[in-house]
Amino acid sequence: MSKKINRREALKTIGAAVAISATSFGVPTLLKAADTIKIGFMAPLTGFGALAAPYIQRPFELAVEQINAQGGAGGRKLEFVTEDTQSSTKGTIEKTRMLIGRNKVDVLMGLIYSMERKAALTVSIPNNKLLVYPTFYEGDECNRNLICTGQIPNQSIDKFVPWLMQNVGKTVYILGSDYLWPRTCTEHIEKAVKASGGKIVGVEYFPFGTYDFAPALLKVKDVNPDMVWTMVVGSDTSTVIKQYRSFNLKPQLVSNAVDEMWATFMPKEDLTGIISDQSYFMTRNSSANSVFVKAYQDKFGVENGLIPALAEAMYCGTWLYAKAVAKAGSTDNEKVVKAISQIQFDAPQGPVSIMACNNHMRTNSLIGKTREDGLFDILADQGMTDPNIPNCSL
Amino acid sequence: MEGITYLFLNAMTVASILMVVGLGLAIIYGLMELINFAHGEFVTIGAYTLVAADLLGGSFWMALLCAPIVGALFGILMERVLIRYLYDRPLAVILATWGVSLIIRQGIQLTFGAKGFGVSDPLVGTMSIVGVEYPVYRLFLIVTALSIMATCYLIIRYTRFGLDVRTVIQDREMAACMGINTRRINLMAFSAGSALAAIGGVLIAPLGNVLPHLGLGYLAKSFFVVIVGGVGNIAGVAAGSCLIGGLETFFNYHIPVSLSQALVLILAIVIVRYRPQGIIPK
Repeated sequence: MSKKINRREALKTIGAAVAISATSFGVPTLLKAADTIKIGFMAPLTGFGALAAPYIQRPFELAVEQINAQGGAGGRKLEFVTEDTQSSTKGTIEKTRMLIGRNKVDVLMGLIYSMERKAALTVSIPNNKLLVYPTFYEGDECNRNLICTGQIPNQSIDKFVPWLMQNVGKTVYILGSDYLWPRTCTEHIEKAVKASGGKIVGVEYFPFGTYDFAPALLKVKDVNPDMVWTMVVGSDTSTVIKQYRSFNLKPQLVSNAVDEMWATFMPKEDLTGIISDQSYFMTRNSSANSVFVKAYQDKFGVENGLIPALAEAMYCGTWLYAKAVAKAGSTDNEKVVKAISQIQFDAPQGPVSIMACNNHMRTNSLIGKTREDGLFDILADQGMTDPNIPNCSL
Repeated sequence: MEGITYLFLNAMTVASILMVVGLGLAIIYGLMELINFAHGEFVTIGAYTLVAADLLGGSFWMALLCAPIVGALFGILMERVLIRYLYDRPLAVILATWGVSLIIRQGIQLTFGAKGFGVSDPLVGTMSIVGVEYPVYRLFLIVTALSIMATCYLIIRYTRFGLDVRTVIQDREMAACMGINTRRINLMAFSAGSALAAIGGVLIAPLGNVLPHLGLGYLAKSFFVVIVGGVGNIAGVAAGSCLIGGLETFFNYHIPVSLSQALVLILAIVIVRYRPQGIIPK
């Protein structure tokens, strides 16, 4: 047996490690100054969410740069600290605490996954800190300290389903990852499909990391629905779609989650022809969008220039916050929240604003079909829709 | 009838994946009685060999040839630098290999980035077999896995190296007394196991998405296969993978997938409880 570990040695080592990490990571990157606004930006930079993180990080940085170039928010420059949630609830909670307690940020922005949002809220709400969250999600948060800029089901599913029933067919088979978002969305889809006279002919959920979807796909083959609606997320997405294609299944693939990002991690030929509903597609034809896409690709290069709806929503959120601060003349939560529902931003997806009653954004509902280059042909532009959260009145 | 054929083919696909991944593990675990937590990372290394080949304009087939070499080289490196100093300390091996797995995973992430790679199917389309349409690549996977198993069986059964290996499995000290260089056998077994894992990685890659933590998902399953099947022999791996793969596929048809995976786990525990030596003991 080699060296025994004794308590004193262990304590010494741990103490040293803590001291080192405190000095190297603990230096506040922001200097306290009243003429700047400090944003705590959080993203899953490592772990399973790492592939999506750049799609909120880049638009956030672009927005900050543009806002500062115009003189900041109400004359105050924006500064930010970026923290990694490690794609985990534990990481998110720690980093949220750190940003609020140590870095003393004025506002929190970012996060992608529902569990990150839930984790951050457990810290930010008691500390009375505003969080600006960009992802489309299941749509049931109702809190004054949370601003959401992504689609919620009534803005995507409720608009998408009637279109599908009219243009694709009446029967739907649902495949989803086994967690909150797909399960909640399924409830919405069921309601919407029933209302349009269609029928759900199968629902199946898969644990993360499923590597063989064949049994479910062969059931789809048996049932032969008009469309298969996929809400399988993360890297499993690519697995399910590749296997769907390899079995040569005929039903139309549809989704409320497919966006431009996917072409970066799976073969484009497998993606071609999927119909999706999002608040934004890069190919949207408007002058505000052309300016946005050009600025984005000038800054990050064409090779990093894919902009999914998630990215555009992060961009909107950052701009809306800056405009609200300018209007309120303060970073005080109450004043900012009051101001944010009174301003409008000419976003790439169209003119957006925040509904005062639930702090969610009015978003567009675009229906697109994936082309061979991974971008979308826009089949329908359904216009701005108010977010609706039952029983929420802030 | 059609349903049964599909069930069989699907079960064989899953069993084939488990076989190639489990085989390497079984060799290392059975022969050296070492628990290699980095085994999953060798699967990842194999998959990334394919990604690298893809990026450099090479083909799937080239990667399939290169991967075992890359895997074996990494295996030799790991055995020479680390494992050989720890043969007498199996617990230390668990920690060390776990550490190595973290290093490899992060190394891959630093080299290739955290985002996944989608590799195109080398064989596209479906093909008619006993009355059903089945993806050609899956059939290729099944055939390849079975040939790898058969080759390994023949090597272990009929070659001089195989004889040495079997002797070492039976009694390491006695084998050493008889003049077998057990350390050399260890090195060869370790690199062979790593090479097999890397081949597994290449074969798995076209079915899904290649990510730095790809191998992790297969590690637990392949341990199961080895323990349920029986440690230290190839037939055990085949039996274990067919059982686990078959059960999983069968349940997936009838009950929710999350539940079926749990059920397979429970059944595996029950089997090990009543048959701790595995289905086919050595």
